[in-house]
Amino acid sequence: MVNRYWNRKAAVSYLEIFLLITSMFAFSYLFYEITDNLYGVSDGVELVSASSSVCCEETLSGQSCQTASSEACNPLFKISPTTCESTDYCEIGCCISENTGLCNLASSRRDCELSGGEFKQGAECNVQECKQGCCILGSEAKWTTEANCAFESNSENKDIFTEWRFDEDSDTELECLFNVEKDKEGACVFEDGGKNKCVYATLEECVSRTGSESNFDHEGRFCSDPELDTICEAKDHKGCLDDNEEVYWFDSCDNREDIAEDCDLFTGSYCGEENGEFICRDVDCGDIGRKNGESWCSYDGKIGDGKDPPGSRHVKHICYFGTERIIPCSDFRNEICVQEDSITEEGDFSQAACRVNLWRECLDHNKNKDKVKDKCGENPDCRFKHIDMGGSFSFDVCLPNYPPGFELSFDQNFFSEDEVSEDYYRASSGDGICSAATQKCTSTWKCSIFGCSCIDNCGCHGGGFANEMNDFCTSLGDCGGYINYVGDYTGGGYSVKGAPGVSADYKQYANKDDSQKADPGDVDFFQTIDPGLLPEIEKDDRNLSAFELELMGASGSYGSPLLLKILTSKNDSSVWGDLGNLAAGSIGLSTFTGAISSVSGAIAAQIDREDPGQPPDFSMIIAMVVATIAYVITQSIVASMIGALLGFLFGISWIITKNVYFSCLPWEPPDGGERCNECNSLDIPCSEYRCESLGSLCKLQNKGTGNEICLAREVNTTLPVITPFETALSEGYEYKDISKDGFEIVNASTNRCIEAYTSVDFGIKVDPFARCRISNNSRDDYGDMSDMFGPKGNHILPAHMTKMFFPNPEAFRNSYNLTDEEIVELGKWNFYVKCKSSSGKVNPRPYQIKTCINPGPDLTSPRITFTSPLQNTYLGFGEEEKDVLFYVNEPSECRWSNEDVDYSEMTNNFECETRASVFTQFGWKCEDTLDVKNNTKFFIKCQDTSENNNVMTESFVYELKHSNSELVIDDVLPKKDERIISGVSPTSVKLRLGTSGGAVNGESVCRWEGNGFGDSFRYEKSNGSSVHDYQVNLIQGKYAIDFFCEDIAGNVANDSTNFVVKIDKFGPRITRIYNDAGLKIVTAENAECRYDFKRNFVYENASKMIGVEKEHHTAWLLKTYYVQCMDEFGNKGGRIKVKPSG
Amino acid sequence: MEKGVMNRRSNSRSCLQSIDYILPSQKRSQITIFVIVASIIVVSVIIIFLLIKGPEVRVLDENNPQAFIESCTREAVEEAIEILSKQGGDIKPKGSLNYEDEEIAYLCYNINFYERCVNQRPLLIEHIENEITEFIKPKVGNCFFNLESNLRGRYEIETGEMELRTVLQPKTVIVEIDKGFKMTRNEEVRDFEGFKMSKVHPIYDLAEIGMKIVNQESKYCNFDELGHMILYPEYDIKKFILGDANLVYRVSERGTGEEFNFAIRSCALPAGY
Repeated sequence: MVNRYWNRKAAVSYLEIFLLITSMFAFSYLFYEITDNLYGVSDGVELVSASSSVCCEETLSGQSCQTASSEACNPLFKISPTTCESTDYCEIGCCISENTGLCNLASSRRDCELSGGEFKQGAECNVQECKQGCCILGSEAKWTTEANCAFESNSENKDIFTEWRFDEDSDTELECLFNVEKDKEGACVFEDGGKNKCVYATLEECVSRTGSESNFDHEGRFCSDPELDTICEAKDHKGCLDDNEEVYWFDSCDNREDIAEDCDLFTGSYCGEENGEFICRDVDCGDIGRKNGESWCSYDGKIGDGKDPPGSRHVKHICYFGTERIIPCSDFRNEICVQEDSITEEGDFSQAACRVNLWRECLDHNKNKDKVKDKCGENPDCRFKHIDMGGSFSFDVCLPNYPPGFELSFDQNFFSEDEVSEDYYRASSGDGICSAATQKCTSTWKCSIFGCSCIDNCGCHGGGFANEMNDFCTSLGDCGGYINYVGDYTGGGYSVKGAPGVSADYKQYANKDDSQKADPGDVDFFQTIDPGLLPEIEKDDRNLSAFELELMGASGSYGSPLLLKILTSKNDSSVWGDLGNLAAGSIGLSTFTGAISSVSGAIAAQIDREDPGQPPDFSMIIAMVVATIAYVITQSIVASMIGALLGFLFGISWIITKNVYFSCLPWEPPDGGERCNECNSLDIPCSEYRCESLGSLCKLQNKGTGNEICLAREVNTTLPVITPFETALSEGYEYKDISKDGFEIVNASTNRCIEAYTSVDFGIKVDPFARCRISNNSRDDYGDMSDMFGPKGNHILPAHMTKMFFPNPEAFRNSYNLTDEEIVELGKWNFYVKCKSSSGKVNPRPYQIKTCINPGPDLTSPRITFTSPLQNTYLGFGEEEKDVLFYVNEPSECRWSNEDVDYSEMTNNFECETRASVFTQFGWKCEDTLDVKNNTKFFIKCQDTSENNNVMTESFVYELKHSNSELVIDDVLPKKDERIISGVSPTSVKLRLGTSGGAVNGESVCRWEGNGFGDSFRYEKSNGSSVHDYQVNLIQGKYAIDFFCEDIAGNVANDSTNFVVKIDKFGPRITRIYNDAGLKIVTAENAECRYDFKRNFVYENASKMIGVEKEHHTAWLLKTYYVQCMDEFGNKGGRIKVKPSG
Repeated sequence: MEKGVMNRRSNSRSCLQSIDYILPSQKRSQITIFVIVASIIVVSVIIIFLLIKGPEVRVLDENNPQAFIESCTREAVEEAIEILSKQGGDIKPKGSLNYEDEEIAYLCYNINFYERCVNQRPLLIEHIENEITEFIKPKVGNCFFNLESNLRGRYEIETGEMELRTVLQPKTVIVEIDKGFKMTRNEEVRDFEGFKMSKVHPIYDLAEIGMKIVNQESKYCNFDELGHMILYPEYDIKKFILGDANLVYRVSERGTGEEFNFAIRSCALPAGY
C-alpha cells in the first residue's frame, strides 16, 4: 500500500505539486523579503533590516519631525538614522506658551523652541502648568489653564474680576461652565451731560468704567428700573446674546434685561431671528424625527458576522441646529459606527460614534490556540468560527466580525522601462490576509475488497465545504466570492478543486436593515486595549476608572452625556446640582459613546511589535499573522489526522486519501463599470475604495478635493494580448520562440534548458491591463485556475511577474528509480496563462510558457541556504546543547565535525529530509543537536542524493557564540514601595529598567505586566548601558508591575516592583481664620499663603504670609484681605476674602 | 527726420480734407450718429464700472493721521486674516493639502500609519500673530508712504523706523505700530510715537479651538465635535473626512460666520496592515 504512494508515478505527482509550491503562486511571496534576507546567511551576510526609516527634521513636503524614508527628507535639514522620538531635536513633548499660557501636546522640541515656547518632556502635558481649571472672567467662565486665565483677564477688553479655580466643586469642564458662580451683573449708573446713563455690567466692569463702586447696583437691578431714574426705557426690543440660548429683552440703551422667551438648546430650541423677529427657533431635525444633538448610524447592508460587503462604509449622522450632518467613519471599515439607544421623557434618543474596528486583534487572538475562544468572545469586533468537515479537518479560528476592506487597485508604477519596483513583491494586505483561508482538506477512505468508505473529513467533497471555507475567507476581509455593497456578486476571489463551488445566496446581505447596530463594547473591554493606561487599583473618589477619567478629560466629551442626562430626567432639577457625578456611570455606557472613538490605545493595540521604538514592517506583520493562523490550523488538522489513521493501522484494510483544495484570494470587483454612478449619491461621500468596488472600470476622479466623482473608464473590449515582459527576466536567460501563443525560457548562453537549482524571474505584459492566472493544465478556464500569476496576479495591471525555482529531477532518480526518459519528462515544464481585462474579456487560448531543466547529470554540489539559529547567534549563558536545523537546496545527506575534514571523515550525521514532497521554501531540512559546551565552531558538509553523489568541497562553517554572563535587571524604577505624589491626575510615570550582562551587554527585549495588562518597552542604549523606558499615565492607587526581559540568546531576567501613586490635585483648604496678634490662618495641609488688598491679584506678585506649614500669619490691618494658599505640588486653593473689623 | 514727420502730418490733413470733400451730407450725419453712440457706450461703461466698483477714496483728515493709518492697517489685517483663516494659519501654507481649491496647512501630521500626529504649529496663536505681522508690514509701510505723500507740501514730515506687533486676544486683533511720525507746519507741531489698530475678530478664539482639536487628535486620535458643540453652541465645528486619513476641520463662530480651516493627519489606519 505504501509503495502506491512512493512510486515513480507518485514522484511525478509530487514534483508537480512541488512546482506549484516553488512557483510561489499562492503564498510564498509572503516570505519573499524574509527569504531574500535569509539566503544571504550562508554567505555570512548579516540580516539587514528592511526598514530604512530615518528622522526627517523636515520633509520635502514641509512637515516637521517625521519618521520617514530618507527620500522623503528635505536634505537642507537634519536627518538622523533613527526614529524622531530618539533624537534630541525632534523629541516629542509639551510646548507651553509663555504668552497665552496655552499648552500644546505632542509638540517637537524643535518647533516649540523655534516658536518661542517652553518645552517640557511628556507629550501629554501632565504638568502643573497645563492643569485646567475654571477661569472666571467676570460674568463668563472658561475651562483653561491658570496662565491662560491670567492672559485673557489682562486682554484689552477684560478689565474684570478674574479667578482661576480648581477644587472639588469646579474640577470638571461641565461644573465650570454651568455650576460655578460667576460675577453678578447689575445696573452701573453714571452721570453724563446732566443725565443718568447706565450700562448693565459686573462690579469690576462698573468700577473700571466709572471709577467708583458706588455706581454699581448691588441688588442686580436692570438699568430701566424706574427707581434708578436713568434714560433707559424698559423692554425696548428683543434680541439674542452671542453665547446664550435665550431670547432677551433689551432696553432702549441696548442693555440686556429679562428673558423674553425661555429657549433651551438641550430640549431643542435656540434664540434666532426669523422674519425680523427674535424667537426661540426649533433646532430639532423634525423632518427625520431626530432631536438636536442626537447621533445615529447607518449602514450599506448587513453588518457583523463577517458579512460586511466590499465597498461598504459605516456612517454616523448627527442632528445639529436643525440640520442633519453626515460623518462617514474611516474607509475600509477601519472604523465601525456603534450606536446606543436610550429612552428619554421625549422618546428614543440615540448616540453614535465611529470607533476603531479592532479586527487586527481578532487575527492576533489565533496565536494562543488554547485561549482563542475566550479571547475572541471578549472582543465584540471578533467572531469565533469552528470549522468541521466531519473529522480531522476541524479547527477553531478567530475572525473579524466586521471584515476589513482592502485596496482594490494598485498604482501601476511598479514597472519602469529598466526595472521593476521592489514593492511589486511586497505582500499587499488583501493578498496576504486572504491566503490564510487557503486550505487543503484531505478526506480519508477505508478500502477493502468490497469497496471504499469515507472515514475522515467526509464533508470535504460535499457542497458545504466551499460555502464554509468561503465564509471563513470572506470574514478575513475583502476576500473570496461575495457581493459588493450594491449586491453584485463575483466569484473570482476563490477557487475550489475537488468539490462543488459556493452555492450560498449572498445578495440578501446588500439589503439595508435599520434595526442592526454595531456593538460599542464595554468599558472593561476598552480598558484592556490601552496598555499605556493602567487600570485603576483603587477607584477614584468619584468611582471613575483611569480609562473613564481619561476619556472624560477630553474637551467636549461631556456634551453628549449631559444632553442625554437632561433629556432622561427633564423635570429633575438636581441634574444641574450634580454635574460632578454625571460621568460616574449613572447613565451607563452612553456616557462614553461620544468619546469612545477617542481610544488611542485602540490604534496602538492594532500592531503588536516587539520594539515600539522601531517602525513596523507591515509585510512581515502580514506574513507572521497569516503564518500563525495557517500553523494553528495545520497543527489541528495534522494532530487529528494522525489519530484517525492510527485506528486503521492494524485493520485488514488499506486507506486512500483525496484532496480538496480551497484557495482564498482577494475579492474581485464586478467586470465593467455600469454601476459606477451609484457611488455618486449625496448620502455618503464617494471614496476610491467605494467607487472601485462597483466595477473594475470604475475610477474616482478629483480625489481628495471635495469634488470627487466616480466615473467609468473607457471600455476596451479587445481580448487581452499577452507578450513577454523583457525587463522582468533574470539576467542570463532569454525568451525564445516568441509567438502570439507563448514563449520559452532558455539559458541565454546555451540557448537551451536552464540549469537546475536556479531561481528565475520572468513575466508577461498584457494589453489591455488585466488580472492573470496560471495553471499547469491547458484545459483550465480562467475561473478554474486557482493560482495567480505572481503576487499581484489578482490585480489589473499592465504586467505581471513571478519567480520560479527549478529543482533537478536527477535528485530523485535514486529515491524513485526514475529512468532517463522519466527524468527528461519531469524536466519539461509547461504553464498556461489566462488573463481577464477590466471589461471581463479573457484570452480564449491559453498563453503557454515553456521551459526545461537541463537533463544532464547533476554536477553541482549542494548548498546550505539557511540556518536556524542564524550564523553567529549567541547561546544562552551555560547552554551546553543546541538544537540546530538548516536547509539544503537539493536533497542531501549532511554531516558535521569539529574539524575541517572530508565528508567521509565526518562522523556526526544530520537527520535530513530527502523526499520531494517535503520541500520547503528554503529547500530540504536537516537537523541535529550540537554539543556546544566546549566548542562553538562546526564544519558541515553535504552530499546530494543524485547519481553523482556530489559532495561539498568546502565546509560550511557554522559558528555560535557563548553568552558571557547571565542577563540581569539591575535597576528598576519606580523603586519598590516608592510613593509617587503628584499634583496632576493622571500623572505620567516612567517605568524604567536597566539591564546588563547576557549576550550583548544587557541588550534585550523587555515587557511589563500589571493587573493583566502589558506591553513592550521602548529600548535605548545610552552611554554603554541598556535602558528600557515606558511611560504610563496613572491615577491614584497601588500598583504592582512585573518585568520580563529576554535577550537574543534566550537569557531571561525577571523582576518586579510595587509602588503607590498619591494624587494631590487640589490646593490647600483654609480651615481657620482668626486674630491673634495679627491675621492668622490655618490650612489643612502644608502650604505657602499670600495676600493682597485687591481682589484681582496675581498670586506670584502678592505679599507672602509668614509660615510654611499649616499656620500662617501677617499684620492686622483694617483693610479687606484677599488670601490664597498653594501646596508643595503647586496646587492653589480658592481665594478667600477677610474683612477685619475694628 | 523732423521734416519727414511734418510731411506725414500735412499729408494726413490733406487726406481728411479730401474725405470731407468727397462725403455727402447724409454720410456726415451718419458719422455724427456713430460718434454720439460711441460716446454713450463709453460713458455707460464708465458709469457701470464706477457703480460696480466704487473708487477707492480714503478721506484724509489732516488732523487725524491715526485714523488714516488705522483704516489702512485694518484693510491689510482683514486681508491677512481672510487668507490665514482659509489656509490653516499660514499665508503660504507649508505642508498642506488641497481641498476645495484651497491649500490648507496641516496643524498636526504623521506620515505613518498607526501613529499619533505631531503638532506642526505649537503656539498657533503666536504663529498667526507673526504671519499677520509679516503680511501687513509692507502694506502698512505703504500706508505711511501714502500718508506722507498726501501731507507733503503742507507739512514737513519726519518719520522714524517702523516696528509692528500683532496681538491676538479673545474676539480682538490688535496691531501696534511703533513709528515716530512728526508733522510740522509753521509753529504747529504734531508728534506721534506710535499707532494702534484694534479689530473685533474671533481669530484668537477660533485658533484656540483649533489647538484644542489638535491636542485631542494627537492624544486620542479623535475629537468629539458634537459634544463640543453641545457645550459651546456659539461655535460650529465641521469635520470633513478625506481619503488617505486626511481630515479637514472647519471651525466657525456662529454669530459672525467667521471661519478657520485646517488639516490633520493622525492615527491613519491602512487598508489591511
